[in-house]
Amino acid sequence: MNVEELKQCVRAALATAFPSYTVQIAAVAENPGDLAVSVFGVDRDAVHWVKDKILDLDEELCVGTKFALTPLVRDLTTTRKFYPQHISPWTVVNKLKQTETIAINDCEIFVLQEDVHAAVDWVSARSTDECLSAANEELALAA
Amino acid sequence: MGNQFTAKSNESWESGMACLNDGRINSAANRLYYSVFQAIKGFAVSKGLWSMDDSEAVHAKAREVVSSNVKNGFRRNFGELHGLRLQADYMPEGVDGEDLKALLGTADEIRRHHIAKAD
Repeated sequence: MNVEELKQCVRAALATAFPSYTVQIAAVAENPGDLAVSVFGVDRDAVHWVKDKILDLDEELCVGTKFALTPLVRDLTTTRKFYPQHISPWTVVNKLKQTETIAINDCEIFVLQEDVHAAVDWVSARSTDECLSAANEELALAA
Repeated sequence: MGNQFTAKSNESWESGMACLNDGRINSAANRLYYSVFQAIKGFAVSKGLWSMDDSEAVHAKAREVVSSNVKNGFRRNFGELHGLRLQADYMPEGVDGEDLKALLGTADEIRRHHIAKAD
């Protein structure tokens, strides 16, 4: 496993374990084999539980390798004071949504138009088939 | 030859404990972590696992030395102590003294083990 694969693995595991917290994974500058796993906005009572989850992953994924995971878990008070930008992942999403509203709306309209065209085509094709089918039945009856 | 870092490790431990007792928690986290790290380095060098000049990824390697040579669970404690040291040295927020105190017993045990078991 290389460092990028390890990061992906850790990111996926932590997103499942605590999806509402902001997580950052970065190599410690002085020591590239050591990945600092930062988690922000954690309830004070859950700090040790989150640390344990990261250390569980360290034991599962890093024993016998040149890598190590180091937990850096910040509670809500510390996050508000020193890392307000990481208070919640939803803050980032909302910010992005506000700045990109026009582009998102354009995409939605485009998709809708495509859907409408596809739906009209499908109905037209179906109607034609049904008409042909009915005409054939009438011809058969006339004969 | 023994552990060539015994004296440094002991000195760092004493400095760390003095800082902790004075309420200088960040300095304590730094010194106590390095005290354990120095004992591990001396052990690894004595066993031929590291060279004295080894400097690449040494903190991750130290974690590996701990998980190979001491009982289960010590890798976790050493990893947690490393996290407090990173927080003390690089992050704007301070280390919680209670978090550091909770790791003292295990940290000293890891340190003493690597001093005693060096060749």
